[in-house]
Amino acid sequence: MKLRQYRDQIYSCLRCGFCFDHAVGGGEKICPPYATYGFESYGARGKMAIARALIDGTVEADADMAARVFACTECGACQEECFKYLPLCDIYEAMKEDLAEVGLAPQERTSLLEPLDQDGNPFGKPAEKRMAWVEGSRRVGRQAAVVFYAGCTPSYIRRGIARSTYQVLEAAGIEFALLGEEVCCGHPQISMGRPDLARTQMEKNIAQIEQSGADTVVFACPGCLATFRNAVPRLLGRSLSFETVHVTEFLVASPDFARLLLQKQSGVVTYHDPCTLGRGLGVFDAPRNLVDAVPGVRLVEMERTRERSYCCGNGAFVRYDHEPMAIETERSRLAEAMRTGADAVLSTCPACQIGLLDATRREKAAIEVLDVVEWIAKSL
Amino acid sequence: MGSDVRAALAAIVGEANVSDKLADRLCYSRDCGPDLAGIPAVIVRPESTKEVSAIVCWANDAGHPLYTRGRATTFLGSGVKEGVVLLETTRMNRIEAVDRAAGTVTAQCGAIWHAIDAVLRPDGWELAVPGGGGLFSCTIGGTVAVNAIPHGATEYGMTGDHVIALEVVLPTGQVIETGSAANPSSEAIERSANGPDVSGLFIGSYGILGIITKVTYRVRRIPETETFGFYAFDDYRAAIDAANGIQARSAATFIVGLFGGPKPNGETGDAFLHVVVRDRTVATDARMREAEAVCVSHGGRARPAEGTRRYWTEHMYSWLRNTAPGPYYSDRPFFCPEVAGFVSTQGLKNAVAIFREMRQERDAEFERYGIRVKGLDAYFSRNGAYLWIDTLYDERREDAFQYGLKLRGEIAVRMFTEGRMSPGGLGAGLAPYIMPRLGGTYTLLRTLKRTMDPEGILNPGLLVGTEDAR
Repeated sequence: MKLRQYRDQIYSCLRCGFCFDHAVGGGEKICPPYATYGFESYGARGKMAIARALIDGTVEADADMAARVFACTECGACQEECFKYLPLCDIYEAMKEDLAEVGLAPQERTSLLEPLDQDGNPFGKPAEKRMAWVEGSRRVGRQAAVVFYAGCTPSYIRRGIARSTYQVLEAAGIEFALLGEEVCCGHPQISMGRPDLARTQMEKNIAQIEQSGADTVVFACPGCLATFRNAVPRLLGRSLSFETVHVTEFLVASPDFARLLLQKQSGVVTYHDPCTLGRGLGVFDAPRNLVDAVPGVRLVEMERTRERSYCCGNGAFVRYDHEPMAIETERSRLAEAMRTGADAVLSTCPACQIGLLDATRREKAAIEVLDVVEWIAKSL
Repeated sequence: MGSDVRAALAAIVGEANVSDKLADRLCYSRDCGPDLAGIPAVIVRPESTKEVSAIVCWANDAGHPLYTRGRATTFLGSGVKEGVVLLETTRMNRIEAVDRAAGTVTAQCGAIWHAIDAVLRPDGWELAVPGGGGLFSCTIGGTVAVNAIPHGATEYGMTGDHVIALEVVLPTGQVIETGSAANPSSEAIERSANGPDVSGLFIGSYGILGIITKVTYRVRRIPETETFGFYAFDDYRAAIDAANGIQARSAATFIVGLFGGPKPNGETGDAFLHVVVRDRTVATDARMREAEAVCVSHGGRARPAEGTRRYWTEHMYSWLRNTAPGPYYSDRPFFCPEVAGFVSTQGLKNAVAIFREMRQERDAEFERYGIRVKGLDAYFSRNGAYLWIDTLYDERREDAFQYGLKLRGEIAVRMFTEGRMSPGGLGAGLAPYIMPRLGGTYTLLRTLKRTMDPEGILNPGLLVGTEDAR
């Protein structure tokens, strides 16, 4: 039982309930499943009670418990608030592994894993179409100091993000390469409690990156970045020979990008901190600095921002079996963005973009939803 | 309990707000303390007073006891029995009115303390006391029902002192209002209206006489400034005399005394006082000077007060000992079978001496079971002190858990007799050690319970003992 390694931490849960809402900050609910379903079992305190009963052996895992654990969007807000500084996200990951091992992972989601071996992506799209977003092949599979790892969602679903990243890197004169046979990073498998299935793909990506001679890999998807930075070394048992950065961090630090003359844009924008990039990886300033680099634009913050940002409701593929929760959460976040009066809500995560776009269509909201790199690309 | 129970409750609150699934029920047992409790059979989450009333009426008809729970942030035992219906109040979280002219806020019982403060603060107001015991994830209904001991008690008094009016669902399902609000032609502006203090019957009652569904509470203008002092003393009796001197001069908003447990980081001494003063700028400075003069006259040494400031502003107890929360709290599997209660300020000397003596007598046992003393800390009230005797046991060890509970009992017995202490919070953990000592008061409470709740529906067995439960 993977969970048992966290016994001390699980026993340490004080049951203070700080994980339900910003206890000191104002009482808004912070956990999308808890906010949606209302029973404690969907929040961190409840999941710790379930975890404790499981490791104590007083209950047996069942489908209801699995539904609650897998409802987690992996937003990390509970961990941010935890009075006892518990590694809640790691504990949930271990719970998922244990539940998956006894066949209790939600079928709606595990079906995403089936095409991964063959197609290298969770959407069942053909592998040969992965690079369809890029014209020409001059950067594919070549040697370069920088690799842009596009990821599955930007490659197949939100291609504007992949294209814009490519355009901005190119405009800045960065010498970069794309992988010839890029495959999924492994995040879906980990998120569904099957990290064992991610190793082959991880090895395949790493071999190509190492072959390219790159010392830096740039990501447009925070989920891929977090997987490379945190999960790959843990699962493969070795450290990476290259640095991993989000494209916003890379651009902000790049003297080549700083020399670019960006065209003026007008209007007011707000920025939605993706949970994985913000709370997860601590990247808060780089996207904001990029937005500020565009002349004529005013950035206004939402009520919940940075470490206390609210999830978009689309993390961890929950949409496949908790669609009403995803819809309610993205609606709530969009409403918060609308209250700023911004013309556009920017983000830096393809999953957040999908959620916010979905809410915009549903609510017929007059606000543009863009990734920060798409926003920058408009100023080239 | 059969599916008919679930169906009956679903008819009142809707399917989505009732659960008999083990995954849900598991989570409504213990509170923050060590006491084990039963797993309820059904969880029901009403949204309105009307729904609460309907649930209570159903419980009477069906003969099913109900346990009420807000956020369960007390440390004294929820007392939930196996297989009961648990009524959870957190859907009742509307903040219904802020009446600035009357200086009150009215909120449903499940509103979180800090959510209410967050509504008040932008306009320069705050609740009349900071949240109960410092766990600000508590609900206002729960905090009033247990009459939690708040921060700021030296000047602001107790949680119950600021209740203006309550809406309560009685054990029969009838809904009443208290204070001036009891008169349907009047408003919720004064507790001392319409005869006896009916609100007082429910404050600190742990929900055995009724379910508080709405609270009208006093608010205050946020004081202009806050200032902080921290003083070390070589003798705890001098620290207590200093605190008494500050109380006599009404110089402080809050005094916290440390008389045991780990010493504040980087400090030497036998006892310590944290002093908080909040007022208009000119008054704050004068009051703090007065408090400092009293401390110095009793041999206190002024020390850097950054820990005091952070304790007050961040509400993290670790700062009382000049320690950041991370290293202080992080993944320590220790739980606190606390004993706490009111003593007179001078009587605190006796209570501190008793615990220090008990600690010494049990040195070998503490060593054997890995018991730690987290704190022997006092919140000074207007005319006394609320002493927290916080021991910690290791949650992973069954023998330590059993010893921790036994120790709590021994401390409670000594403190409630020789120590002349009267507990504030009771819960299932401390009630058995104090209630039978209350003589006629206990008899009266039992009579009230039997009269008001003849079917033994609400929180049976909590406070008045299982002999009154059905």
